[in-house]
Amino acid sequence: MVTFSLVLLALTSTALLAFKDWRISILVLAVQYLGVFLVISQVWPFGLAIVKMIAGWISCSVLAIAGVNLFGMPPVQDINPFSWFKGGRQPDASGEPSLSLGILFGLFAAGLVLIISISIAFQSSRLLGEDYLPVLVAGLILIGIGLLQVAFTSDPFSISIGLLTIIPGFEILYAIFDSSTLVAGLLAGVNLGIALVGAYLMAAPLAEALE
Amino acid sequence: MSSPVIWVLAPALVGLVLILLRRYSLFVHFVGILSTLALVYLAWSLPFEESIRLIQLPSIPSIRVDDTLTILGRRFILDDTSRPSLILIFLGTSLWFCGAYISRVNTLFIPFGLWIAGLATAALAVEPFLYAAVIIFGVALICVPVLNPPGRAVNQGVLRFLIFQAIGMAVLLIGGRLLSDVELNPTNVYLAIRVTVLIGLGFALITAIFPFHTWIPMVARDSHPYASAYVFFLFPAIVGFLIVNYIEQHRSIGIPLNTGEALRLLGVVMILAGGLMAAVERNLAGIMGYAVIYEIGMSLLALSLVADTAVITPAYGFYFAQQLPRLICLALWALSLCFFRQAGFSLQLDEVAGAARVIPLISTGLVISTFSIAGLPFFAGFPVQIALWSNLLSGAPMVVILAFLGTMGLVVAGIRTLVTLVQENAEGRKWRLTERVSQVFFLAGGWLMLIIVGTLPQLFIPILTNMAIIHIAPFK
Repeated sequence: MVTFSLVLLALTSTALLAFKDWRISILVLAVQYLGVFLVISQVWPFGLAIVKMIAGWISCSVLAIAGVNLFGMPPVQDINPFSWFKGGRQPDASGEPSLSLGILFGLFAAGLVLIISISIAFQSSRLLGEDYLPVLVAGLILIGIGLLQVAFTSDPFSISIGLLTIIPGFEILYAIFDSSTLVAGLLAGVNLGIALVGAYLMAAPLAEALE
Repeated sequence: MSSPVIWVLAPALVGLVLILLRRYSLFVHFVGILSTLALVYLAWSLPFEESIRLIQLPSIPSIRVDDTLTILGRRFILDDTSRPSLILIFLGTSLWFCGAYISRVNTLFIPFGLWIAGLATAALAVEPFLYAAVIIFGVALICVPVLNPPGRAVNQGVLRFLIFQAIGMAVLLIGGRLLSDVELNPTNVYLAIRVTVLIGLGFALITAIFPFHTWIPMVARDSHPYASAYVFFLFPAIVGFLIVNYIEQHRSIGIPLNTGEALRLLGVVMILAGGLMAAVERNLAGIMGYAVIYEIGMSLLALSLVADTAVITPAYGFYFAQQLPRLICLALWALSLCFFRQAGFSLQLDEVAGAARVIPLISTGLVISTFSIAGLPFFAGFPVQIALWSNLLSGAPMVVILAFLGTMGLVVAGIRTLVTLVQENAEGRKWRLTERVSQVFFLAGGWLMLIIVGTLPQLFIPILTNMAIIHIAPFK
C-alpha cells in the first residue's frame, strides 16, 4: 500500500506539472489527495487522516466550480490533455500533439526532484526512524514538485494547484510529529483558503469593478 | 464575555455586516472608523477580570471581561500586557480608514481591513506560538482581495506574496512544533540549531526578508497605493511583534548566540537593497515599495539589539517607537500617490516632469515622506533613527556605515523625485495650486504630524517605550 501511494503521488504531481487543462489538473489533484490520505493514514488514525482527503476534494470542487463558471464545460471528447502540455505547441494541422523542449525540461526537473527527495529522505530517516522513510519521501516529493510548479507558472490557477501540492507535502511531514485535531482542522482550512483565493484570482479580472 | 471576543470576533462580525452593506460607501467608511476607534478606546480603558457595570441600574447585571478564550483546548489570551499591541493595531487601522474614502480605495478595503486587524490580534493572542503561523496565513489570504480587488488584472506580486506566505506558514508550523521538543530537551543543541534555522526561514518568508522581498515593489507598482501601504505597514509590524514574543518566550532555553548578528546582517542587506534600488527606481509607487524594504531592515536592526543582550527594555523601545513615524510616513506617502493619480498624472518618473507646478502640495507630500523615512532632521523618522545609530555605533560600526549607504540611496531617490517634479517641462507649466480642499486638509494633517513627531519626540517616545515595558512584562 505504501509503495502504491508513493508511486501514485509521484505520478500525480508530475502530471500536474505537465498538464495545463484545468479539468484534467483538478481530476489529477483529487487523485493526489487520495494518495495523501493513504500516506498519512500510515501514521495517523483513519478518521483523522480522511479529513485531509475530504478537505482536498472540497478544494478541488471550489476550483472546478470556478473553472466551469469562467470557461464553461465543453464536451468530453474535446478534451485533449496532450495539446495542453505546458511549453508545448498546439496540435499541428493533422491534430497530432507535439512535445517540446519545455516539457522535456519539466519532466527532467521532476526526475531530479524525485532523486533529491529520496536522497534527503534517506538521510532524515536516520534521525526519525526507518519506519518514516516512505512518509518522508512522499512529503518531500510533493513539496519539491509543487515548488517547481509555482516557479514555472504565473497564472493563478496553476499557482493554486502548485500550492495545493506543496501544503499537503508539508502536512505529510507534519503528520510525523503531531496528530493534533486542531492543526488538522486549521490545515484543512488552509487548503480551502488557497482554493478560494485561487478561484477569486481566476475570476477577479472578469468581475465587475467595485471602485 | 472575553477579551478575544471583543478584539477578534467583533471586528470580524462588523466586517461581515459591512461587506453586505458595501453599496453604501460613505456609511461603510464611517462605521469602519468608528468601530476601530471604539476598540482603541476599549483597549485603553476596559478593565479585565473585574466586574463592570455598563449602566448604573440595579436591574442591569454587571459584566466581567475574561482575558482568555479557550477554543478546542487552545488559549487566546489578551490581557493587560496586550494593550500596547491592541492600541497600535487598531489605532493604525483607524487612521488608515480615515483616509480611505478620499483615496478612493475599493470599498471592500474597510471590511477586509477589519478582518485583517482582528486576525492579526488573534495571531498575537494564540498560545502556543505555532498556531500564529496559520492565523498569519489567514491574514495573507484576506490581503489578496485587498491588494487585487475585483475588476483588476492579476498582480504577479500578489501571487508571489501568496506563495511566500504559504511556504513560510508551513515551515513555521513544523519549526514551531519541533520547538516544543527543544523545550523538553534543551541540551540537544543539534536539534535546537535546526529548529532555529527553520523558524528563521519561516519568519524570513513571511516578513519579506531578503531574498524573499521581491513581491513588495511588484505589489507597490501594480496595486492601489493606499491598500498596499496598509498591508506594508501592518504585516511586518505584526510579524515583528511575533518575533519579539518568540525571542522573549524562548530566551530561557537559550537563543543561539549569533541571532543578533544574523538579524543585523539581514537588516543591513535589506537597508542596502531598499535604499539603493529606490535610488534607481523609475516608478513613484515602486520607490515606496523599496522604502518599505528599507524600513523592514530598520526593524531588524532594532530587533538585533534585543536578541544579543539580556532583557533590555530600551531596546524594545526602539522597535515600538519605530511604528508611529512609519505609520504616518506610509499613510502620507500612499495618500499623496493616490492624489497624484487622481490629478491625472502617471506614476512613472519619466512622465511627471513639472508636476509640482500644478500640484505642489501633493508633490511636497511625496518628497517629505521619502525624506522622513530616510530619517532626515525635523521629520518623524529622525529621532528614532539617530538613537538607533548611536546604539549600534559602539558595537557594530560597519553596520552603521553600510546602513548609512542605504539611507543615502533613499535620500537620492527623494532628491530625484523632487528635481523631476519641479523641473520646467516642454509644456511650460506655470506654478499654481489645483488641489482640492479635502486633499489639502489630509496632506496638511500628515505634514503636521510628521513635523511634530520629528521635532518634539519627547511627546511620543516615552509613551511608546512604556508600551514596550508593558508588552514584555510577562517575560521578565
